[in-house]
Amino acid sequence: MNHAECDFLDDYLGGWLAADQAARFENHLGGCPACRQDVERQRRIDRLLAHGAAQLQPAPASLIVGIEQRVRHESRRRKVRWACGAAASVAVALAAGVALLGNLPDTPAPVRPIAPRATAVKPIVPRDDVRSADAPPGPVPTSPAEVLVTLKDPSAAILLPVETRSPNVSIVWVCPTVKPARPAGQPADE
Amino acid sequence: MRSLLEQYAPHVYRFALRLSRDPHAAEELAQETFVRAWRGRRRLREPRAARVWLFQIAANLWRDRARREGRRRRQLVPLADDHAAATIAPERQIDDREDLQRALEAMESLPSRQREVLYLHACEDLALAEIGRVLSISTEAAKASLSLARKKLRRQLRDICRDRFPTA
Repeated sequence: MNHAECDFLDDYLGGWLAADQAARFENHLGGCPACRQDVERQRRIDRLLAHGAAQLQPAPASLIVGIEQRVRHESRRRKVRWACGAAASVAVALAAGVALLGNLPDTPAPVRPIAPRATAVKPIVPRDDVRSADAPPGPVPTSPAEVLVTLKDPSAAILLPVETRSPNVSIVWVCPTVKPARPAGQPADE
Repeated sequence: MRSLLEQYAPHVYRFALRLSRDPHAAEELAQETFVRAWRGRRRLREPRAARVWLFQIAANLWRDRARREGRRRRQLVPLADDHAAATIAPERQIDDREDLQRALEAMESLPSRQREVLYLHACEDLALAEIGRVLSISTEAAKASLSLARKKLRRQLRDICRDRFPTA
């Protein structure tokens, strides 16, 4: 047995030898029963594996149906995702456009005239219960922007005017103050 | 789509079976492979390379999964005996079935890399360069793994059909 030649057995079986090397190895096979037997054995194994695997291990019947279902699901998911993305893009573009138009320095914000509006708004008249009893009737506001609020008890509440953007709107927070607890035994009404 | 599936799904399933050694995991892997392939279908420029491309996706998916799980499943694949006799000549049926079963079991017992290379070469008839692409290894590494796998198989199956290989 020529061991140096035997080392080429796998290269020969794999078809990786050059033509002259393959011819030399085939000459070697003639005088080496061990290599000849290995070649035959390997060829038989290769034949078995080549034909057998497909026969022995067929794909399950559910495989193709399962793949089709998953691909359909994936396709639907992608379409929905695309539609959501497109809708979000349109919404963002619209919002950006509106914001841009609103903040343009050259286009002044439309100011509504106060006077026509004032005729439509009922003037705010201070309620009798919050008007001080001894206070003079006070001037009746002629315009909604000039509102006079007087309290019967000035310590009963704190008035906080809130800044607004519109000249037609005035907001005043009325925060009632906390009165001290009544001493025990004192009647509720004096 | 259906014809492509019928053509390639069994190949991908059997390769997935070699990778996972578990029929359920193999079916799952094959399905996921086709979903990924569908997503990236524009990347396949050469339809003739579809099989290698699908194997590549399956191998990558399996590698990612194995890395995530930190282990590989070890169940041996049960052989479906019903199908074994379908195309084998009747007079050699019993011997061939036994030999085939032993050959497949011997292949299953190989280390994963050798098993995958041997399967792609012997069962899917891929060239070494294609095997390298599928498994992300060099052609030389594929060749070395294949040589080792074949040596081990010959050693394990030394007595395969002994009567056909009488010792002088």
